Amino acid sequence: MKIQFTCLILLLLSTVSFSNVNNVQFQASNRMEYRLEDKTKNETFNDWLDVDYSIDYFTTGLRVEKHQPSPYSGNSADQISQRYFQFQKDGVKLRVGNFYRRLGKGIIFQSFELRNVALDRIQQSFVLDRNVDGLLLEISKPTYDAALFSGKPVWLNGDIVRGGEMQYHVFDRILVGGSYLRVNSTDFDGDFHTELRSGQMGFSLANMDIYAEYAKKQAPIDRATPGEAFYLSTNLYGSNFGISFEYKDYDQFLLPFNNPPTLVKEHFVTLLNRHTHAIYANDEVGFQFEAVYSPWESTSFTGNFAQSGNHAGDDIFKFQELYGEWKQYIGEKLATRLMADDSFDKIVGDKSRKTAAAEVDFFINERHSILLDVQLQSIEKTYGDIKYNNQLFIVAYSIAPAITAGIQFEHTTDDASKEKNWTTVNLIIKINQNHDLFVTYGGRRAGLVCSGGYCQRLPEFKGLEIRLNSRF
Amino acid sequence: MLTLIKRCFILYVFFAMTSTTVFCQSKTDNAKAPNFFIRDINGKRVELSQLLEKGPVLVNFWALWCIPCLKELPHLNKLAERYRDQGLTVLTINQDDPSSENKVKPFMKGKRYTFQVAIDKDKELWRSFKIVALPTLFLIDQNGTISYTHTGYRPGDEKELTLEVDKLMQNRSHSMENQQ
Repeated sequence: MKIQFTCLILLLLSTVSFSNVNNVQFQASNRMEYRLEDKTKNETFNDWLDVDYSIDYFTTGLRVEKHQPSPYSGNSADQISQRYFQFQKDGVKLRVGNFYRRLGKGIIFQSFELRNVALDRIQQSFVLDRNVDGLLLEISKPTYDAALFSGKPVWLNGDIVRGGEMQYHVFDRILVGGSYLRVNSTDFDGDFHTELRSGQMGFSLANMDIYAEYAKKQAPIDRATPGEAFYLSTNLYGSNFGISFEYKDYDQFLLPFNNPPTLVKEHFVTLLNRHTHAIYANDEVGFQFEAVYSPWESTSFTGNFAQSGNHAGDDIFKFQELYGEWKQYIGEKLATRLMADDSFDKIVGDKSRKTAAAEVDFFINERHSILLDVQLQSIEKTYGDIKYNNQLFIVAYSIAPAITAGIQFEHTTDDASKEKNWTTVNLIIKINQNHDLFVTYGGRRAGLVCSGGYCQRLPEFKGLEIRLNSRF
Repeated sequence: MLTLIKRCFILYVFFAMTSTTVFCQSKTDNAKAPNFFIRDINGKRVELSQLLEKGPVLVNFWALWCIPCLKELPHLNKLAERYRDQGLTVLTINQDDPSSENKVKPFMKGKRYTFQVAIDKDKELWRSFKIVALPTLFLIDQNGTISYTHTGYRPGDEKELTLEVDKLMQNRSHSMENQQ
């Protein structure tokens, strides 16, 4: 019955779209996924429908999710996973229900949702939802931002969070702020609470920015170890260059409700994204440096160097990465991007990871273009004298603004992998301004997919995937 | 049960496709952009209703990890420079997380981009604009109505966008002339 009802709503939405009568506004989006696995013939279906309805300053909304089979129970799961009611006027927002909020840079708290959904050739996707069910008050004025909230983080079992933040902006150049969070938890020994505080300070000068945040964690000594965290970032820039430097020092700050800056480059190259560094916020210190320089409008260079380890300097925790990129437009017909990366990450047993990639866009005419992407990687492990190579090739043909068809081939010489070759073909069709259809068939290699400092290991898959993204 | 879902899926796709020809033009005709306030990368508070007082606004959602977004940005910069004096504001809403957001300003400067950028740190605008994928852009006329929206980027998409912006700016100058 529920399925028929959802079907009916979706069918109506697919034709009715936006409506606007005076100050009444209706908006919705839907993401639908269907997978059919080749070998087992297992079928999975996932759907996320978000609907908002607004009248003047009031908005109410909900999210309906459908997962079959459920990733948790194996049975089907239909649920209203989020609902909220909101009042917003003159920089004041009051929200009851599900919400997301970050304090400072996320060192003490961040509730968030990750949807790795760039519309780009062939891709792996995942969804991670960490919202809080409760009450949120936000005030945003030209000189200050303030927030207070209380609620249950839906991804934590029974915990209650209460927090707030105040940030002053003086002449748009100076930032002074502070955040507080109290987490009430229960374990086998009874109730206890953890308190976290952070102070933020930032300055913007003519061609320079500085931001620093210091955080402290206090908890009953028999339940958790007190912790400290420090984050510093500086930017320096001119008319055609920009430099950023970041420093981190995290001690006992691996918490189930925070997401501190990783200081690791977030890669869009598939092989680099799969082999990245996952931080250990209980004991990690390090820095990251990045520079972007465009000597001419058609040419730009990007360099990045990141290094981290634990406080004791143990070899097993050492991570280092050096990345370089050269983007060049050649006339009006060609755009090239060359990338090279050299890194090691001892904690996952990677003694050496060397990657080179080249991407070429060839513009045939105003609407037709071809993309070629070649990625080569060699990996040497710290144990067993293991060395192997990964290779990935993508060819895609696009006709703007409606169609992209592509093929991806990946090969590995890794003996630990049963499969050695994966081929995927895909088609992306823009149906109209509101709908994008993705059809993919083939094999997908298991591995990490990382976004926003969070990584998820996706299993291998071979079969058919269909996805439809809609906005109404 | 899945058979039913498959039927539903096929029907849904069919309806979406058939509505292309019938409803495509009317889809966004009456859609109002939700008003919002956000701080730009210089710490300045930006509100959509205030930007609309100056003229139309092109809102684009992007992230540093999204390669089609990065390919689209040079074209948005050209539009921003071409129409800045005529009242068009190009406001890009960055969707990076704390791990990358510090790199946004150096990236902008290093690439010589001059359009306005704000960081959607709690993804509030992502949800209120009902974004499902990056990049997504909205062209909003001075009445706050969304006149054009586009998701994804393929080389050549900028031609269609430029035509839409040209059309909007021409309509605006005509209506201003009529008022005078």
